Amino acid sequence: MMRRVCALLFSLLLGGCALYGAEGSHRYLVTQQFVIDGPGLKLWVPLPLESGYQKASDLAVEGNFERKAVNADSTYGAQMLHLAFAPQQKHNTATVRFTVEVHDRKADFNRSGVKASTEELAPYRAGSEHIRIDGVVKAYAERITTGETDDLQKARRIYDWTVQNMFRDPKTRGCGLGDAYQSLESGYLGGKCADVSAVFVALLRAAGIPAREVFGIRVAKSKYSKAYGVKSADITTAQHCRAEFYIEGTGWIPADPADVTKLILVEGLDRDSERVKAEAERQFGNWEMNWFAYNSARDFVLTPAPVQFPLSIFSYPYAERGDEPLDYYSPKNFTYTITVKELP
Amino acid sequence: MRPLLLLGLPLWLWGETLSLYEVPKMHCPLCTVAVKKSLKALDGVHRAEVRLNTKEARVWHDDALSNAALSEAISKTGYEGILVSREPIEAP
Repeated sequence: MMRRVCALLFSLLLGGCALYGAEGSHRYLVTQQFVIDGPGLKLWVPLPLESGYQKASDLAVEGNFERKAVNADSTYGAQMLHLAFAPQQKHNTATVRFTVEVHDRKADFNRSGVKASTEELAPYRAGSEHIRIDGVVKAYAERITTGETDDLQKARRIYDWTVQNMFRDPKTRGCGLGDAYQSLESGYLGGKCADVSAVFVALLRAAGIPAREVFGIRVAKSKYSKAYGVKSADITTAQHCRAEFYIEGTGWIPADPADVTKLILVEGLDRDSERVKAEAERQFGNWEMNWFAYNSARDFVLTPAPVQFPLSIFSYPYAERGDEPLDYYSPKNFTYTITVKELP
Repeated sequence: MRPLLLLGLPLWLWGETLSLYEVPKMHCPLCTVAVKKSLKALDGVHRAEVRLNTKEARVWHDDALSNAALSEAISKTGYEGILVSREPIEAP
């Protein structure tokens, strides 16, 4: 099992290195603070993905916990810190710090010769509870890609359809449920980044193209729009989901259709305006790294397994007191804060 | 001691029942919190245990509490609760 995870991480690292050069590099110091009352607390904290475009270091953990461990899940390689507090302890504290160095990503669509292993791609071809690729999803994918045989062009059609038809609903809680089947079956195409990315990814997989959401968090201002960045050092609620798809020979290609829908809402733009068209073009194949990635895991089991499982999305800290999960969408009740400082 | 005896009196008089519900549309850990909270808010519910992996809710409650009331409590959270079994619990 461990060998499989190591192989996956290694191939991700090589794939990323081979595909993307650094246009801009940034280093961020991220601090997460937890002050949680109540006995029987167990906490799982997402840690940054290791990839060619991103490297984490200097993990430091302090607090009055009894046990700590850094684990990775066996399917997606999602990195996590697990803290267990003494069963009768009523006041629990933890501070988690790490540094993450990131490089802007720009896909080279003319690149060839990249080949990922069947094992690496397998989870990103398959469906899951929230990323079903049958029924209505399959029907939409076939309709959108009718007559097209080239995978990159199919992906572009699906991207354009997603940007044209989905919209950001600011009332959505957190990043959204990310239930692609429900979105397409209900016909309600509003949501936030996890919803938009889930539909994009599910349609791609249904069209036979490996794809994955990439859950992470925004850490800085954007040079392109206020819609894409954070306003302050407090990034507690700045989680954001992007997406990638895999083209044989070219490798993993970054995209962010969800941020195009956010741009439209935040800047009050017309979907057919030149600005939106230009940004949609840029977001296909580029990631501005004022954000870093945690993982691409969906519908999986944390390590060690909590009482309640599986977990749909792991971009928020997860905690249980006894058998009850704390509300990760409500950091004030949970209680946690996440802050960031850009390093020279 | 006396308050404990008084609290136990209703159980002795009317007995306790364990009802098992399937809640198939629960999809995330927070769904279990909502279902458990709604069940525990009912008078006559002693304990509730909800699990996401099995999509089941176990409720220990007064005999007198009806399936309709328990189902209604689950449906208030937006999920349908399907009664699987309802068994009286033998006193120890």
